[in-house]
This record gives sequence, structure tokens and C-alpha cells, in this order.
Amino acid sequence: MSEIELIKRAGSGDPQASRELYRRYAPRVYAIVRRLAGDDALAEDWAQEAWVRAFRALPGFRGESRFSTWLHRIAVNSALHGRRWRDRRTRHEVALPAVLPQRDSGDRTVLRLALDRALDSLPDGMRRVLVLHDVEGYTHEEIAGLLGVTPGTSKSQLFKARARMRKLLRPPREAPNGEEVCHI
Amino acid sequence: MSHLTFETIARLVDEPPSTEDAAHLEACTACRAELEDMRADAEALAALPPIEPPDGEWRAVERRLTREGLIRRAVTGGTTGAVLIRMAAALVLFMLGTAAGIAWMDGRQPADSATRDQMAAAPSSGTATEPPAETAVQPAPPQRTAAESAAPYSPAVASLPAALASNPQLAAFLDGEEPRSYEAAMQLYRETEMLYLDALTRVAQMNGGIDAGDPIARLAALEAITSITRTALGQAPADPVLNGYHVTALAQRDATLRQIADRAGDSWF
Repeated sequence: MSEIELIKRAGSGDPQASRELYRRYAPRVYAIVRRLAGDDALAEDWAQEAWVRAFRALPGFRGESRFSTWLHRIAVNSALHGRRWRDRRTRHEVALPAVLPQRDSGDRTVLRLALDRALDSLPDGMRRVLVLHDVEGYTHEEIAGLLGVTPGTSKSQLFKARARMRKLLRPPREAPNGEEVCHI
Repeated sequence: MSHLTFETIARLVDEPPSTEDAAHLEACTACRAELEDMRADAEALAALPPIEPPDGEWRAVERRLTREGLIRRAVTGGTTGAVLIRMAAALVLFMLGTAAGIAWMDGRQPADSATRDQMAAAPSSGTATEPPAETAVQPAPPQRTAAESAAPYSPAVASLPAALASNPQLAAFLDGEEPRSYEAAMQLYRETEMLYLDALTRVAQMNGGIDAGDPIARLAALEAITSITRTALGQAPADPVLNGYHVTALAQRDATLRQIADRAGDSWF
């Protein structure tokens, strides 16, 4: 069944088509809300909310953008604005592997896990900007619109987030002459 | 040498360096390496894969969508499958329960051969011939048993063969044909459950003089209880008290079945 047909049938309440549409896009939706949330419980709430919003809006989908883009934006909005960020449990710094695998080692799974865990341990503001910019490819102008901040603030948060990630992922590098480099 | 800060290097991932920063990078291999690592981090973040949602997410979403009327009630394979499994379980329990009664009665007292033949015929084949008339059984004096007290209904079906004769859908199911709809499956499930309860009650009655510790009577009573709690859970599936009653009754029923099996010197589990 084509995507257009699937969307049309799901929009008319067809349970099989709805399930299939969910099956196709659930991992992508869950990934964005999970990384924005930083914890599983919040992500589950937001993912459900995103799907309910998407199905509510589905009859109005006109195909003017790709469905994946449309759904992605709903997921982001659900995560950022659909529900107030609830008070987090006190979170401790995530224990990351002391030494990450070498980038050419081929052990990408470990690297991905480390990145996701490092994301979880970022402060909410930094994580939102880093996920939206570096993971999801939003521009600073788009992020500013979504978060209600200036593009400059988005940039500033991004650079701080990258620096924090760097420290979380690896110990400071030793300079050739033995001195520690790049102090913040 | 004053090195670039991490934040400066983070900015250089996206933006061109100032003249001063470019000069530093030209001279400092460590900061160049840091910049390369940070670029690699950004690339790795962009390549992060999708994440599978937790099990049961669709169920939760589906419940909300159904409640809001955004999707029609699904007759999913999973739901129908679950009903079929319950139907099959009911039929198996029907057969096991009847066989248990026979085995237990054999161990306790000599059973009337006609009775035994009648009871053995029904579960063994599913297409057995019509059993002897009810009067041949000569049930115990009409005293009220625990099973009767607990059972909220009268036996609706005289026997499995009679049920099969009057219900082509049930016969078709036993021949391997699946019900055509969720509603048909539920109807068959209810009928098979009634058959089982009916058989269990009759076994208890046939034994006569049931004492308080009689496992057959207890099994009949527990089956009646689980039937009631199952119906109640259909109306309030999340009610913790009802769930507690139901789970307890199921556990007791299973324990009683094992007790009966042990007594019969047989093992079905």
C-alpha cells in the first residue's frame, strides 16, 4: 500500500492502516522525543501525545510536505510545548566509559550508546538545542522559533552543549608538550 | 600557549575561524585535534539511529485513539488470537475436568460403568455419540453443593455431543475452522466455558455426598468465581481489587487442578 493511501485510510479511522502508519514511523518519533526528554518515562508520555496529536490532525494532512517532516514537527512540538517540562528527578552524572572506542574501530554501537547517555546527562536547555541542531538538523532560526529565544541564544547553548559533551565523552587531551589543553 | 576554549572550538565546527583563531589552529596540533574530534562528535550525533519505542506503546496510543473515536475498534489478529487461545483452553479444561472427575472417582469408589462410558465418550473424541439418557446417571440426592452455591447460572448445555449437534459453529471450530469475527469467537468462547462449567458441576453432582474438602466441588466453585471475575474485568479492566480476586481465583483453580491430577496418579502439567 502506498504511503498516500495508507495516510488516507488511517485518517478515516482504519485500524489496520493506523497501526501500519505507526509501525513505519514509531522509531523515528520515539527517537526525537526520547532524546529531547532525556529519560524514558517522559519520552513515553510525549511519544503517545505526539501520536494522538498526529492522528487528530491526520484528516487535515494535504501532502504539501513530506509526511515524515510533518510528523517530525508534530513530535518536536509535542515534546517542547505539548506538556510542561515536569520537574525532573534529581539526576546524577551518567557514568560514561572512561575511554571511548576509537572512531576507526568500527564499534559504532558503543559510540552511539555513549552519545545517547551523554545527551541524557546534559541540562535540559543545552540538550534541547543540541538535539534539535546536531541530531535533527534544525537551523538556529528554526530552533529560536520553536523555543521562543533568539538565534544567538540558540548558538550559545549549542556551543556550551558541545563543549559539555566533549568533556563527558573524553578526558581532556594532553598537548604534545605535556600541558593540558583547551581549558574552559 | 593559551589554547582555545571548548566553546570556541565548538563554534568552529560550524563557523569559519577568525584570523586569530586560524593562526592558533595553524600552530597548535592539540587544538586542531580537538576540533576534529568535535566535528566527529557532531557527525556521530547526526547519524544517531532511530530508537524502538517500548513494548505496548501502540496499545496505549490505540486505546486513546479509540476512546476519542479517531480509529474504529480493531479486530486485530492478536485480539482474536487471544480469544481463540482462551476458547481452546476452555475446551481443554472441559476435557481435563471431566477426565479428572472420572479418574478421581475411579480412585475413590467404583463408578457406574454407564456413567463412566458416558463421561469418557464426550471428551475423548469431540464427535462422540449421544450419551445415555440423563436418568441413567442417577445423581446424588438434590442437596446443594458448593459448586451450585457458587454457580450463578443453570447448566445451559446437556453435553458436548448435544452442544455440537445444536451448534455447527462449535463443531466447525473443533474441526479447525476459525471464527469469522471477534464477536463469533467470543460467543464460542462463552459457550465452551459454559460447557466446561456444566461438565464440572455434573461431575461434582454425580460423585454425591460431597464433603467440604472435595477438590472437584472446589474446582467447580473456583471456575464459577473466575467466570464472574472475568466478566467483571471486562467492564473494569484496571480495577485492582477485581484483578486481585481474579488472579487469586485462577491460582487456586490451578492448584486444585494439580491436586486432582496428583490424586488421580496422572499428570497433565
